[in-house]
Amino acid sequence: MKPAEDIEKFVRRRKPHVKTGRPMDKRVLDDSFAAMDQTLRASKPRPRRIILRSRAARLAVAAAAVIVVAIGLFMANQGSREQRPQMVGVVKSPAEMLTVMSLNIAYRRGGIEAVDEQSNKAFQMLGSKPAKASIQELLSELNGV
Amino acid sequence: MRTSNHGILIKSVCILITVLTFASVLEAYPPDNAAVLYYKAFLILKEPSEDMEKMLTDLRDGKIKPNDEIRQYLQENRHAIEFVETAAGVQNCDWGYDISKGFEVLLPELSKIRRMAFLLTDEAQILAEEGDYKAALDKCLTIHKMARHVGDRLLISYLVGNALNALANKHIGEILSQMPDDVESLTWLKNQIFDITSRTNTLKAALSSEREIALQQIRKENINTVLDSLGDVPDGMSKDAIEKVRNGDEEFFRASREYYSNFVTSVQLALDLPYPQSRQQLEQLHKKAEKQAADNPSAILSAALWPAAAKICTLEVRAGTNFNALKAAIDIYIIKAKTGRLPETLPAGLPRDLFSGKDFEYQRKKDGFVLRCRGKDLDKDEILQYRFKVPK
Repeated sequence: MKPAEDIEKFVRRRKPHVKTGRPMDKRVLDDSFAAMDQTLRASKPRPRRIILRSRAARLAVAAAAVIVVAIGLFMANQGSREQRPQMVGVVKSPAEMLTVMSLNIAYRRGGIEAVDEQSNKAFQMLGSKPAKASIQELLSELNGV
Repeated sequence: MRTSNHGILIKSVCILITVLTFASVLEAYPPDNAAVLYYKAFLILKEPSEDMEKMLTDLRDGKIKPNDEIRQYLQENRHAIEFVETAAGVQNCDWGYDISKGFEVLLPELSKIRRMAFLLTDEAQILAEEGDYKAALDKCLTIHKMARHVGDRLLISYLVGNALNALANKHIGEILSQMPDDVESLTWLKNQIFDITSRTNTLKAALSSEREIALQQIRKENINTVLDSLGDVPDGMSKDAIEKVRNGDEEFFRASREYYSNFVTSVQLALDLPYPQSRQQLEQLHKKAEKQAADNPSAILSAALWPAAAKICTLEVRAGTNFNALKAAIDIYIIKAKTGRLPETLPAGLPRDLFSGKDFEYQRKKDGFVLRCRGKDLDKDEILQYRFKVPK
């Protein structure tokens, strides 16, 4: 069932005492305009809001926003290309932190402590290992499957 | 009679087969590759909590004495420690590196083996505290054996092995400073240290392997991966140089490989010189490569890929001098144990300071003695000295 039909049904069932007609329509309309005026007075109108009331102005603002975003993206892309030598060395995964090259670079930066630190970070990212793994414990776990 | 003889023969053969089968099973342990046991240890190693980590660091720095919590933590890791000790006694160790992957070879074991070495020093400290000095020294010797297993197949492995040796030597020195006179244990330690240093890893071997890996990587198809890894090295290449390398053709990479190979050969030759000349030569080589990189594109990758050779050379000399100081100190401790007093002067024929190539300067102190180098550590810009105490 459509919402409009729902509403009609609701009005018919719940508000049988309300009689509709021209006088009632006018009253509802007057009340609505009064409420709208009150709302507009309460909120101070801003120039931006006034401008945006015009359809042409809205289109112009949207077009400008698209151009600004496009320029921004283009510049960011150019910037990332220029900065590539600095950015590409960022290590992404724990495994990448444990390669020969990665550890060589860590050593160059801060000696054996830097190698330790980088490796520890990698293992933290990988997660901890079980403290014990006796055959009995493994069997008891398997039995529970 | 004949049947009876056959029966005995069959029984004998069956018993023999059974005995041989069980004997071969028993002989299968430990395996002939230590890495298998190290990996087992790493699997069951319980990582310390943050508090425990701090406590262990304080223990190693001598800020605190061993306590029940530390003992408990070591007890929880006893199986891992046992695996490592067994592994250290195995002759061969193959970590299963796929060298064809070049600089992308993964080395997760380096950090774990360092962690295990720290646990062994913690155990050594506890044993020394309990008065079992020989067992404590044995734990430190295990670290030296682990360092040999870490190997010199890669430069970074060599450097980690070096750090392990330094760690073990530091703790051996501390144990000797507490140990009462014991000629037998000292003589045993002396022999063990001589055995270890006769089979120690070498920088030259590490450089040769590093060259092989680098030469595989200086190729058009691999270069983007290499550059991506090198990207944030502070003293890396300029943007212009990176562009030149990225756009290099086959001839560029061939010339770069040739330059790199010759460069490493020059470095290896420089390592044979006495320390001050060697270091000077290595610095000049590095500066030359950096300078040439501006005009000669084939020098760019050598300048960028090659680590600070002069510093690494100093590390090797420092490690060798550290070992020599320890060996000399053990001889002095033996004299003290035999005569009841420290010698007046340095005995002749002791291992030397490698910074100068001369004998250590020996000085008796109230609480022990000092072995001072006569040549400067040019990286630290100081004369190193090794202090050894004698128990009161």
